[in-house]
Amino acid sequence: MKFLIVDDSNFVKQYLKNYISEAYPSADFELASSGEEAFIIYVDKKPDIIITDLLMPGTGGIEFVKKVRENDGDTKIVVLTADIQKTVREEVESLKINAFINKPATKNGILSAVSKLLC
Amino acid sequence: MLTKMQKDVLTEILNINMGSAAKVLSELTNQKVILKIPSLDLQSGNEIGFKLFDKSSDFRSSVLSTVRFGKNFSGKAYIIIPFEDAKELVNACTGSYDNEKEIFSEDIDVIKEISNVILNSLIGEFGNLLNVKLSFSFPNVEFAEISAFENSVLPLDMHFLTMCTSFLLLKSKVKGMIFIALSTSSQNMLISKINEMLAAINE
Repeated sequence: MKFLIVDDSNFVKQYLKNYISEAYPSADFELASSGEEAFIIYVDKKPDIIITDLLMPGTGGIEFVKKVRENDGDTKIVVLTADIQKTVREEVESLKINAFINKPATKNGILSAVSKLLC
Repeated sequence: MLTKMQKDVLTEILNINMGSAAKVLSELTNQKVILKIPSLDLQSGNEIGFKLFDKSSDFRSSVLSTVRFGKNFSGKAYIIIPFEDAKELVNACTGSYDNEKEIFSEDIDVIKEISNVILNSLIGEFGNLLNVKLSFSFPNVEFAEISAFENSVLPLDMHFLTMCTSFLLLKSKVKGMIFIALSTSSQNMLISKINEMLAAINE
């Protein structure tokens, strides 16, 4: 099971990787700090699940998700963001993502979302 | 000038929004968060620094995180944490406790993320209330002696609706202040909304 974690914060990438590794010890991880970097990794590594922030330097999460969805509708996408606005949630959910979680992400929240996607 | 009723409603809105932000901070740190009643003021830029930072010498040397928010509803939001408390806050979030007092680049990353989450939570609720989409800048974190930025927090010749509140993490005794300054047009937008709410109550 391959994960791509996209966030400009190393702190966030680390805690997500730690949470998921505990529950799924055989998971592989790719990490990216921007939408551009993430898209390059996505094309090369074909992750099963992408977990992405929205606000990042350069290409942000929304643009990245749009580009992924232009390529395929199958890769699972979880958006993890500090933005609590309803308008943003509606915009992002219209891109046919698989889950939307507000930060701070609890371990249970992340693992619950991931386990639903793996069923 | 705000009427007493407008100020009451705005204080209550800020209380509720601050509650959302406090919940977020509590989840990040796994600690109870104590809040103070927010204060509201209409101030010019050159009044803000003096009034805000005169209150306590605890904030003389501080870590200042700033987020700009904009488009239809715009302003600046700040979280100010005394330097000594900033490391404690990082430790509370990461769960790692060392005796190191210095703040390293990985700590700045954590402070940025904490600021981002708290200020998004606080300001985002205004966006929900006003039904407008807000955009946020990346948090900017700097260390400063308060006297160095007392007069450069906001443009000196403009007036701002300022909202100030403070918090305390009960277990680690980390304290901080949160300060929001709204542009005049944003202030008017918020007051219009409050007037709508008051009119609806009085129907």
